[in-house]
Amino acid sequence: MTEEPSAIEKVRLSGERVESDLMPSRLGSKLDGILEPMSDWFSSILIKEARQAFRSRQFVWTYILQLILVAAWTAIGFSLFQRELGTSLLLGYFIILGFPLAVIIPFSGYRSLAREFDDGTISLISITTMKPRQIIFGKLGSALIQLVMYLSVLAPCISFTYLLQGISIWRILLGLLVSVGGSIFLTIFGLFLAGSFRSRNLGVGVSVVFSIALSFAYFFWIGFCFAMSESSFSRYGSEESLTVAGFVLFFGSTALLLLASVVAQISFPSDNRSTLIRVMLLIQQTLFFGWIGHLLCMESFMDGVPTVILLVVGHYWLGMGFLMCGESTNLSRRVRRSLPRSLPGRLFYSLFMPGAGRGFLFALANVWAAFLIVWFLAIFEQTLFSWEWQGDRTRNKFLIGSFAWQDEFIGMLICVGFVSWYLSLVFLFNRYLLRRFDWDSEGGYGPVISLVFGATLVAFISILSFVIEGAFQSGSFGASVASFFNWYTMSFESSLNLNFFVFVFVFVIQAAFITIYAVLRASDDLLLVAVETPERVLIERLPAKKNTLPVGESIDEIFGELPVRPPGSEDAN
Amino acid sequence: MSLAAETMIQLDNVTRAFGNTLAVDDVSFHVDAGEVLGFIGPNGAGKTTSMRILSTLDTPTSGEAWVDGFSVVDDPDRVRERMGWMPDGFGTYPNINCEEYLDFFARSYGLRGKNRLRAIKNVMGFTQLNQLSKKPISGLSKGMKQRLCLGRALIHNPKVLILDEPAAGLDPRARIELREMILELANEGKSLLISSHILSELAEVCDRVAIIEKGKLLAIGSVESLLNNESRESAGKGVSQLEVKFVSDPSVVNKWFNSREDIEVVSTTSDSILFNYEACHKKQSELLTELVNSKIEVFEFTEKQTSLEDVFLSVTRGVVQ
Repeated sequence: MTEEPSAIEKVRLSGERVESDLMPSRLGSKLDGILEPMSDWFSSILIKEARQAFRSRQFVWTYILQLILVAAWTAIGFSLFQRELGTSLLLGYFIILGFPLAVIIPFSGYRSLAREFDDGTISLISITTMKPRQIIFGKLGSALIQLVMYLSVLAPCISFTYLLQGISIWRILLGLLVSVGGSIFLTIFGLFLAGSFRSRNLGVGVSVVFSIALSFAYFFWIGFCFAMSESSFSRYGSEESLTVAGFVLFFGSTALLLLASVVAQISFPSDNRSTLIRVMLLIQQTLFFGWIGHLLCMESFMDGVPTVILLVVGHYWLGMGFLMCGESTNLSRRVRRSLPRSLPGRLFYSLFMPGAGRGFLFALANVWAAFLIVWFLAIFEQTLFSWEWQGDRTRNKFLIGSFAWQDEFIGMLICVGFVSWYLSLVFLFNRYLLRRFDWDSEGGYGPVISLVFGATLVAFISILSFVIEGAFQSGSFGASVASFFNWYTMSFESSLNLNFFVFVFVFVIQAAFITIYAVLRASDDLLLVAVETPERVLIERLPAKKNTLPVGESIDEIFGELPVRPPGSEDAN
Repeated sequence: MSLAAETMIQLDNVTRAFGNTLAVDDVSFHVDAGEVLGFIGPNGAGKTTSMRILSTLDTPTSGEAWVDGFSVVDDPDRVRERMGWMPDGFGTYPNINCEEYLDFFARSYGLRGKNRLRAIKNVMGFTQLNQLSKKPISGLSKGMKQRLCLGRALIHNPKVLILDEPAAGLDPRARIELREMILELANEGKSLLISSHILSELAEVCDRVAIIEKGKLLAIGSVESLLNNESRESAGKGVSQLEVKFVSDPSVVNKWFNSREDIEVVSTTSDSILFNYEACHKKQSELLTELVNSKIEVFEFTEKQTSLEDVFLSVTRGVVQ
């Protein structure tokens, strides 16, 4: 009669068997043994998502379909197209590649994050030690792996077309840049949508709208492929290359901004969710002016262009400023621990910190900085052109004091003035409502409410002044006064209908007063007081504590002692 | 400070408001190392909200919450290293198996190399999932999924475990096994906060229980002290609940009991009757004699023991408006 093993023996036996199942070195596969430690370098989300994605029917079927279509198109191409074979084949390959890249991958990325919210698993991964950016970058990384897989089918064929006549390497690179870059951008946009619309009911609607939008993106891609096949895209310096550079900068910086936004959306409430976004906004503005500056070296400014640039920048900061004005005014202790200790550091860095007042000042500072940059660029451009090409000193009229420059300068000033006025109004409105209705405690809706209010205010005032002007006809005093409140007509037609003293009396004084008052109110938020980090937290942050287990014990110390019930006693359900 | 006296979970005047609704209203309690605290309350009482605050998924409107001395608001990353949370939903993923699921969370908690493999092995052993390691999660029973989720909460060897309705929907056997696992974890020195509707089970595993309703903490203490308080309260009123089981004709028995003015009948069945009577044991003995003398064939005469359910009903009854 054999004796029943003791509880401890059962643990040991069970443990040995599990070890044999799990340890890669005993799987008999040396490859697994090599790859297993390497996998520690990758994000856990990336590994999990890749496992899920490659087992999904959607991936398998799309991949097989892509293979079939590529083979079919190659056969058809060789039998039908005798002339311009390379161009025709390349066009077909890009159209085939476009579907998974423009539709399947972005939608998978969107669903991947949306499903985390639907199933509640976002809570489980949020409370791990992973940072929010690791979660989002893991999702993006798995989309990139799928992208590489789909691209691997087409890459040999696309390379082959280069050997055929009529295909330039620039055209192939442009196609790959737009398809891959576009796919990444759409995936990031999908992640942003999933992070923004978390409600299950709303999510269904967003899924439908997003899938329709992706279908349009695919049709746009097809159109682009046809245009590309017919264009003579040349190298750097051409009009196309500057346009492409502009698109790359715009979509690249917007993608970074969207990534920062979606990371902020899944961050813990006491985390700093604003600084990264503000840095991205600053980067985007810098890139925009860098691109404009580059254009200036090639083309001269036309009349009105500086005002148009400021109008674009003004709308940008108006939208972003409205959102920032709706932020909570409270700064968590966690964020205040990271504040710089010096006064100048605090004053400058405070603008990047979360909070309505700080956001308002950040937007305002950027708008006025944009004004100064455009002014500088205009002067630079005039000087540059008058020296190098024009040889005409009279073109220096753009410099301060010149009468011709005044129109442009005043248009720009009016544009910035309107942005400051609207931002101030919305900031003060939010400040009143935040205190009145305690929006801070609700969290999340403040920026959206602020944006809706701000957009409505701009639209209402602009339309109302336009209607009044139309009803009374221009020339009457009432109509002129109404037009003073219309940002758009004032920016461009200031020279036509500006009664300077009336304008100053009716609009400028009150706008300046409101802006100064708002700035003073917002300045209260600038002088933040840092708080000390608890000593225990500092000790934990020391390098010696890295790579150790959280509780200072080994896994064996705890689990080595845990009894494991014998196998076979599982729930039979 | 000794381990036993170390406070692992602490809530100080925590309030969480959603608009005008106070989901948690000025709640304070603590859980020591190695202690199991049961969190009892009806649906919507504020249990899950409190647990979500402790799990760093939500922040309190006011008050402070601490896990192992770290603020859940200011140092959520430190808290997460020390805390395992098991929600009332499963939270599983399609297209991956049990081992991959645990592997994912082990990696997410920063476990690398052999530490990760060992943690997966041990957790699978502890939760008895080792035979199902390659089975897709979608094919698991509810009990197995619950074990897997407990394994996920344990994968990084946390000091503190927060379990929200862990036994909900489990069959009796799975519940017993879960109870054993909880007791083993408590014996290992882990602190556990468990919410459940199954109060009889909580009474068996918890050192203390906290009763919450409409966001307010109504009572907290050891199971024994709460039961004793309830018993004393009943005794103070001079009333006990008694049960008589009989083999006589029920109509005759009912008639006899209804004829007595000093007895308040609570409920009857075909072979038993539950009633309130004086708490004095001598009086109860005399009543039994009278029953037997009246030719009623009694085979069981018991004083009903106070249970956690009685405590819960008594504490929550009309206390919070």
